[in-house]
Amino acid sequence: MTDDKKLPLAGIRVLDFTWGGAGPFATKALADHGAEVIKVETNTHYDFPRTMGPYAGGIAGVNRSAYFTNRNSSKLSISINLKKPKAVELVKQLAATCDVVVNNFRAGVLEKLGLGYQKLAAGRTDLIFVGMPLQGSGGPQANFSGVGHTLNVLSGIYGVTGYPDGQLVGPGTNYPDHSVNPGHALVAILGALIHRRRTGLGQYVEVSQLESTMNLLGPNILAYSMDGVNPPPLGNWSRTAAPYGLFPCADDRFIAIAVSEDSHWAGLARVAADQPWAGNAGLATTAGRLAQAEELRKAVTDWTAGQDPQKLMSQLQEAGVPAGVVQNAADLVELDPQIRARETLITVDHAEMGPVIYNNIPFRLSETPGEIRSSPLIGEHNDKVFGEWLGVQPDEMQRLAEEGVFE
Amino acid sequence: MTSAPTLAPGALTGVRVIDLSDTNGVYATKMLVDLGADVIRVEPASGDPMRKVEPMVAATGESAFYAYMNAGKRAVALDLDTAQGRAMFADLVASAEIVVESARPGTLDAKGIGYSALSADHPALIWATVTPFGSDGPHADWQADDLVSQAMGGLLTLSGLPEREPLRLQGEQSSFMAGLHAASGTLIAYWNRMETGRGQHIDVSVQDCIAHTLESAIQVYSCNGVIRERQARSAEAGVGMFPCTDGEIFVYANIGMIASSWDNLVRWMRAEDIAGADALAEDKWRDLTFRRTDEARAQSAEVIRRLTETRGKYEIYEQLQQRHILSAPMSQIGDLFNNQQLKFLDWFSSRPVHGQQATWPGPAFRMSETPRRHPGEVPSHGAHDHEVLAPATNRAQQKEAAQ
Repeated sequence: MTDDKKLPLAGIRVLDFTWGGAGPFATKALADHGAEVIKVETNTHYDFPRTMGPYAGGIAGVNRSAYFTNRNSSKLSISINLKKPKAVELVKQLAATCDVVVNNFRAGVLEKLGLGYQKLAAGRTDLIFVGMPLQGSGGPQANFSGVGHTLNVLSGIYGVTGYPDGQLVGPGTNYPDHSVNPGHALVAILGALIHRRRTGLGQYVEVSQLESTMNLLGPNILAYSMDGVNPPPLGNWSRTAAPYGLFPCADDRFIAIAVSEDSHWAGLARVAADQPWAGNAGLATTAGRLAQAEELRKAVTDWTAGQDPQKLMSQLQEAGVPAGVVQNAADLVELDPQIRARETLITVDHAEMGPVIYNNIPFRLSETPGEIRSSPLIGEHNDKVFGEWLGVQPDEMQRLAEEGVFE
Repeated sequence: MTSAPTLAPGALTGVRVIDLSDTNGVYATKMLVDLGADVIRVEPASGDPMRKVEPMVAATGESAFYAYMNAGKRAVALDLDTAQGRAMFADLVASAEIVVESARPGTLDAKGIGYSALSADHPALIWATVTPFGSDGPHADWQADDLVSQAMGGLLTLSGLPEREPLRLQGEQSSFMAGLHAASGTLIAYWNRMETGRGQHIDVSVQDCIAHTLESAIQVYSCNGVIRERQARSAEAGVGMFPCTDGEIFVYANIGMIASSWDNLVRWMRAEDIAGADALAEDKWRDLTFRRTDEARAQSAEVIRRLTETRGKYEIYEQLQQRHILSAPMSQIGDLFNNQQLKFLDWFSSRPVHGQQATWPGPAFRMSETPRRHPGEVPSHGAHDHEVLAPATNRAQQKEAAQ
């Protein structure tokens, strides 16, 4: 970070109780843009991405998980055992210096510790308090548990994601944890910060992960409410375009080809000029292609099979056809020139892990860009936060450590 | 808390946004609407191509995607291929704080209405560009829709069954992934503008956003050299869809992440005297390698099925959750309206679309001071031409007369 370019969220302090997948991905964006984000951790019960790996060099360790680092870049970490009353007191003092408090515990957990919204907002009107409970803080199922995979099913995205023959599969990942729930939380936090800047008022923000995830099905929900029909699984096909879908290439790879406009077809026909179907005038229009969609699928499949997917992709794109290899992590890390040119993946040094690959920030601000800095070791910033910021003297720090407050 | 209408101002009340985005960027401007911004969607004179994006509603012939994404915006029709249309667009931008667009890189600049031209006299302007591959780099001119973006971003390869082809996530998911990142960048830029008075350009590549949504696939490769691919259904004992009397229940009793679900499930099945449950308490079931074998998966599935097949999916969902076993009832779109929790929270919102009664999803987030209203009207083609463009026309004419 250069001195003449201050990070845009400098001066904002965030007390971050989030753990696991979704919450930390929201607060890391605040940290990457300059907010002081203090991650509240404990050695008595690790944030599970710290103990899931993958680990740097394949060597397990609480400070070696790359899953953890990618979600907690640029943050500060304190380790504290909130079962000790003195620890709760210190965190309360810390909260009083923070603009934003974020958690994704089950509803009621912070309240039981005496760190709920009512307690922390007492005596001040400017606190932004953000909860990310699974299903809201009240209601008959507020105490239910879940992870991304159960949210996939509960929210309905599993129920629309399947092959055209009806076999449902759903997302292969804890999908809502990775863009949607952190994204909605981040938008809400930034909205609340802007509101506070305009009015002086903080507020209570709740991102129910179920409500957030179900917005992914918003268009389908709206359509069902008017037509009463569950959308049949579509796989990779399209009802409005052909040829459209995934096509096999050499080495068990696939290429996506999406001919949605007549100009795309013309491009495809130029690249496949030696194929009998390429010159078929009946296929020049969408209606003509849809009428022969199945025959076209077979013909294009025969044509792509055995071809080099990267080469075919370049030929098609240069001819104006939307097409892309079904890329995997190795393609992104090693091969894709666009990923390299845009520094979509960057390497940052870590005190224990050495060089670590992070996803770079996927939105680039021209004047005040964020910056990925290393994820913290557990408890790395105890002295800074409690000593420097709260003024706890070294001998007192020592005594508290012996009492297990910083476990 | 409820999502009831309120008189409180939104976070972005009074902030004007010009929306020239396609499916890649439109969820960003929807987020800005939800925060209270005045979003003006500019569509071609020939009609907004988004009005044809699936799902189409049979009853009205209208796009539910368009309705969901654009409710509460105002729509104006402008022909940016004419000098008059471009002048009016420039005038609209001059009246706005934020622009979000998805034009192919360079095309707006070529027309003289890109960021560099329109920010010259308007240094506080915030301008977000959301395109499939971003504004620079060797593939900046390449084209992609949702399918191609999910392929190139690395998400598609993670879904589907190993013996079949990879599987796209349904429902234009690229829109959501990219739109949320674009909205976040735009709001950070707006925060900075409040501090400094200066605007800036925000560049968003859909591919970058999707590559940010791969769980730990990038890290598994960079740390272990392992390329993560789509996994077998129910890849681990205790995980999978199980039959009920009226559908299916998804059980996620794995041990890698939250071991207690498996322990609680086995304890419950033993208490219920389910045949074969005792064997699942043996030590070998704590070994992930064993749990992933065909033998372990088949043996445990048979036992769990005996528990689930005699009960209804909502009944067993409650019973599993009461015992802290991760689970969810299989839900197709029509089932979502029966969700007891969402009913209790009064989450859905009934508002007609073009005269047809409709039920909308509630807000993605709830804010006590700046709550989202019910979804606004869905604008028909050029619905707000007069109220938005008449002042712009006047200003454009005055400017021309003065020159």
